[in-house]
Amino acid sequence: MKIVRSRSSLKQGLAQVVFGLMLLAGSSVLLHLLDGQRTAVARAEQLAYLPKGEYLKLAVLGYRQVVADLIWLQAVQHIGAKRDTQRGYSWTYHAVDVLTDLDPTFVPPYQATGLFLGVLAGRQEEGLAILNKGSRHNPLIWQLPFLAGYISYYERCDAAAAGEYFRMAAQVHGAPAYLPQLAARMTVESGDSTAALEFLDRFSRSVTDERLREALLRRMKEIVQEQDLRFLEESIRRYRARYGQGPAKLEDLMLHGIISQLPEDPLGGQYEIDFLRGTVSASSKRERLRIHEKVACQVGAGPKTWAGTSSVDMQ
Amino acid sequence: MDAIGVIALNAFRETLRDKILYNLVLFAGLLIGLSVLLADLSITEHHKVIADMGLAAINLIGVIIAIFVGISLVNKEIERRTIYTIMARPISRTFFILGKYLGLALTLFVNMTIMMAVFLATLWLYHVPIEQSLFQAVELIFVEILVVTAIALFFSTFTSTTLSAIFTLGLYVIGHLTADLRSVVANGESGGVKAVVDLLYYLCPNLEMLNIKGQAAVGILVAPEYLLLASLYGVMYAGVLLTSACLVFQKRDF
Repeated sequence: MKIVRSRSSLKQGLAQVVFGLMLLAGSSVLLHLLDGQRTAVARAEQLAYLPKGEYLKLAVLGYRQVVADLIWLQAVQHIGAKRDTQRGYSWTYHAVDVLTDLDPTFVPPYQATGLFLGVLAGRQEEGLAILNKGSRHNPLIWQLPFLAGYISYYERCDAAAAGEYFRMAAQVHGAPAYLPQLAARMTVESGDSTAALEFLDRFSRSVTDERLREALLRRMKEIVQEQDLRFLEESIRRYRARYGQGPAKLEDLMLHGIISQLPEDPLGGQYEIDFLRGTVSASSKRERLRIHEKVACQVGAGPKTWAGTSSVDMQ
Repeated sequence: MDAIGVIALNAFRETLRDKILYNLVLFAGLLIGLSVLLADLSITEHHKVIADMGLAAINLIGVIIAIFVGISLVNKEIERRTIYTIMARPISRTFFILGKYLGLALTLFVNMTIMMAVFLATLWLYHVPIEQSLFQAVELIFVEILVVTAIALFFSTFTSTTLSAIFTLGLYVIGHLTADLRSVVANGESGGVKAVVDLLYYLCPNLEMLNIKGQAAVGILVAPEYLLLASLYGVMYAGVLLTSACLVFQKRDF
């Protein structure tokens, strides 16, 4: 009788375990389906619903820093994401604005967001706003006004504002010795790509984070590429002025002594000529840097040596 | 005085029997798991985040234990009717309350010491510099937890366990908001409201004064005078609550 009872209770227990496992499997399948429904955009959208920092500050009691860290860990997933949208950038800006309200002395979010929004995403106003906020709360961090100066100088073509930012950065105790000279050069005329390259090179050396450094490196290559494109287009104009028609291929510029050698695309692509329009494009990057389309912000003409790009002289 | 020691030791043993220290596994898992996770995320200050998380976890776990064990210390004796055997002995009610409080304080001290050791080991493992400011922060966290324990014990002397939990949590939240509330009212016109808020400001605990986690995580030390004053403030406030708890408990009929 006892054996029968223990067998039946064993059966009952086994049935319960199986039932429990079935429920667990069911809930896992549902979770997987829900995951599929919730796109990356929807996940980023969560950042948009964060309440303003001034209210959140009250709600998180004495745990402001740790909440700021958690928001940053979420926001950082979207910063620099290759397929991020403009809306995604807005949410990221909001999230970083909120987290820096919670922990105003947390410097990396200012730096990373300023760089990604102001330099890489073409949202200079938001980039500058976050960097200005960072400088207000952390006046001893020279990198923040320095980066803001770069954005003003190269991305916004605003030499006066850039000068003011560089002056601020140079005044910070412990700022590098090259800063006043670089600031003086950059204040004279905005949009000089050579100065911009020097800035990015020096800035990347002060950055410890690998992802930020990679982003800066890519930007430097894009600037070198744009220098090359402008240089080649200028050479085509000279060719046309000399021979009355444009070259059929880029090598013709070299064969006819307009340039000494063809520059190499630092992004690993090929430079291609549009015979009819007289323009040059790169196979590695179809969209050219926006800044160079601005008339007000003239870039320097000659290409410069950088990252394996050979120096090419105008003939 | 010996009676206080006996009750304290008993309360300490009782909390250990309740497997309170199991939370340490949770703490260690949380901290180490997070540190491993952070190692993969590069755009951030690992040092600061690990320090922030460690301090917040020590604080939060300490507060949770202080509240939920603190409210049940006295009530459990009443529910189990073991209070009658204790009260039948020549032990004053004041000694009973103080003994219970010290017993829980000892548990929290042991708990926090182990948490701190795990925290320091994690910092060392991930090459995070161990700053003196971290010890200052943990010292004030312990004072905060002493205050919260006193609040929980105070409420548990005259209300049920559930109500004690609600009141203690409420006062804990208020304790972190009084300074903000005061600054909001300071901008207003009404003098009456200001006076009431000022009164509440001094009546309620100001737990934000004991919160230096933010600056400690980035290695900024507070002045020793501040540390001393803040610790004294916390201990004195806990003293006020314990005195009140003793007074209420003495009036209580069993």
